[in-house]
Amino acid sequence: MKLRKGTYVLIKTALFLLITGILFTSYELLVLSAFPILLLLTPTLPVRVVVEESGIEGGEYVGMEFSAHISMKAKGFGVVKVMHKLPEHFELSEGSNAVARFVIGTSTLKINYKAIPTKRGQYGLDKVVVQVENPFLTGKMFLRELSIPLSLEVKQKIPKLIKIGVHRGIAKSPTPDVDVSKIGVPGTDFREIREYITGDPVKFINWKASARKNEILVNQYEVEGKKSVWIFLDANPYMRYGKIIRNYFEAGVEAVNALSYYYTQRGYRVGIYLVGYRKYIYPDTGRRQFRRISNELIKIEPSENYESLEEAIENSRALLITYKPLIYFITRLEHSRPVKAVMKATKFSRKTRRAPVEVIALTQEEETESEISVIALKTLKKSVESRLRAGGVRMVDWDIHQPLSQVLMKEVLFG
Amino acid sequence: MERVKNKESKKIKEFVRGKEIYLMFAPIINLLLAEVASYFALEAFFKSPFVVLGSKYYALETIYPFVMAIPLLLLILKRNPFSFGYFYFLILIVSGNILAKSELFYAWLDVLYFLKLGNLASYLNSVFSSAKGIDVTPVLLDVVWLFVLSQLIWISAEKGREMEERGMSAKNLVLFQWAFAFIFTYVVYLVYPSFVRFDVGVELPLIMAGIVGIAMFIVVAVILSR
Repeated sequence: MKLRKGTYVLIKTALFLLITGILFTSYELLVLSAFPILLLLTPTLPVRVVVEESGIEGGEYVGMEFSAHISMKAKGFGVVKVMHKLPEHFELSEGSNAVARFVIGTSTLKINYKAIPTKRGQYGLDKVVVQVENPFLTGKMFLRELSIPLSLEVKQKIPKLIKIGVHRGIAKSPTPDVDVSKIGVPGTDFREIREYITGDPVKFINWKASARKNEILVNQYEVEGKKSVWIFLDANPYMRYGKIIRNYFEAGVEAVNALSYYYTQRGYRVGIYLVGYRKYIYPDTGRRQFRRISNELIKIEPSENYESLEEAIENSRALLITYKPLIYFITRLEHSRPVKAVMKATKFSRKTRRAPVEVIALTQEEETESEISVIALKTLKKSVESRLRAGGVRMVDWDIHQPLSQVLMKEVLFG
Repeated sequence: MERVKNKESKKIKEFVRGKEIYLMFAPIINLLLAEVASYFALEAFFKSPFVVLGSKYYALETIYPFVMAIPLLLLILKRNPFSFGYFYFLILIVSGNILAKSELFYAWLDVLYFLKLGNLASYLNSVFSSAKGIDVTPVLLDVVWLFVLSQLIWISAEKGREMEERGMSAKNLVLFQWAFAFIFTYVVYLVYPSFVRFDVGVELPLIMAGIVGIAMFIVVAVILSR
């Protein structure tokens, strides 16, 4: 057990007087040795602390400062220290999240501070730790936690993507604004007349044309909505590498947020697959879908289990065949080596023509690894990259410390 | 180098301007307490048999400024002016009167007789036994009270500094702690003499008392050495 400093000093003084008293056979010193001990007997009286008011303003996004205030009332006698527990990824920028006071009777305790969340997530800021001690800080220490109704949802700031490049020469029109979906609710725009297939609604039968041709024909209308976009976010354990605030996974999440915002805003159906979790969100469009994706991404951390991109493609095979989407892979090439997976994905969509696939390869300047391993990883990455490019796959090399919009814009401007 | 200097001066400016200035009072209060304690101890010293022994060879009055200067020196060296070492020293200079009543001391005089140093033994006996009537308890109580109070103030100031460094305001806490420490220890100081007067007698065979004494001595020595 660690002795507290106040207790240690008083005991040391008492022992010194005691030992000198024994040595000198002095009654005075022996009796005086009890003087410091008497102070040690000071009891710790209970102090009641009640939270009266609490609130948080701001802090919705990573790096955005928020201010918190908690007002409490304490009743009793003793030293009270109160601390608002902050999660690991929060940095204090002004004030303090703790307060200490010598309480005699009734006293008001106020905590006012400003802090910055440095990582996305759903945080419960609902714990206030109260520590009560005696005035000499020597006796028993009472610790307890109070609950307050505070929580904070910190989202990643979505980088605004101005333009994303198209895949000229491979897909007919993989990402243009006019591209339409193959499936969906039929709209009012007429496309063509075709033969009746079992299951077609009767209201779509073109009676005049059917009578002329002597076979049942139906009107085909353009379906509502645009092409689907399917994003594979690699959440395997190797994505954790880097600093807590900025690592490969955080960058990947940022990219998914940015891409899903860009596409959902333009009416595309966006779905994601979290590689490592075997989990996906069905493609859908609109603001609600973006919120769904962004809420899912707030909670997620790199997985503990490994899943290859090939497995991920197999698991979402049915969806890829149904939606024939534009596919994004966000990964570390040197670890996932996605050549087979990407080639497989390109073949799902069309029999005659390859589907549009884009790989966003995450990179950063390695700091800690030895020179040889850095060279080995770079070589491996280059080899995977060249094989992908040879297969007609579009590649974006993104240094995670650079703004994503800048990298994508560069691709648009310079190919 | 210049940057370090600027940093230092900025720190000092912030300290003076800021809320931490009250922490400066802790060493000053401790200095005062140490000076008062040393004055009491020296007063007791000049009534002790040591003066009779020492004044033959040296003008003992000159030790006044030296003893009183030690806390100031400790303050200049940024140490606690009323440190443990200084407390031990004060108890030591009061020990002349304690020895006059000590059984152990007279046992040593017997040893001197045994070693054929009867003259020295009887001289020491005459010097020390004349001081038997001096009651040293009030002085010891003063010194112990002042020392304990100074230690409580010092610990509280240290905690306060730690808290201020972490951005917490500790002014209220520290000042109230000082006031409480003074009032509480003062009450104990006032009540203590009546506590000392209790005539508590425990009947133990001498051999048992000796064994208990030696055991306690060893335990305390081990604890203090850690």
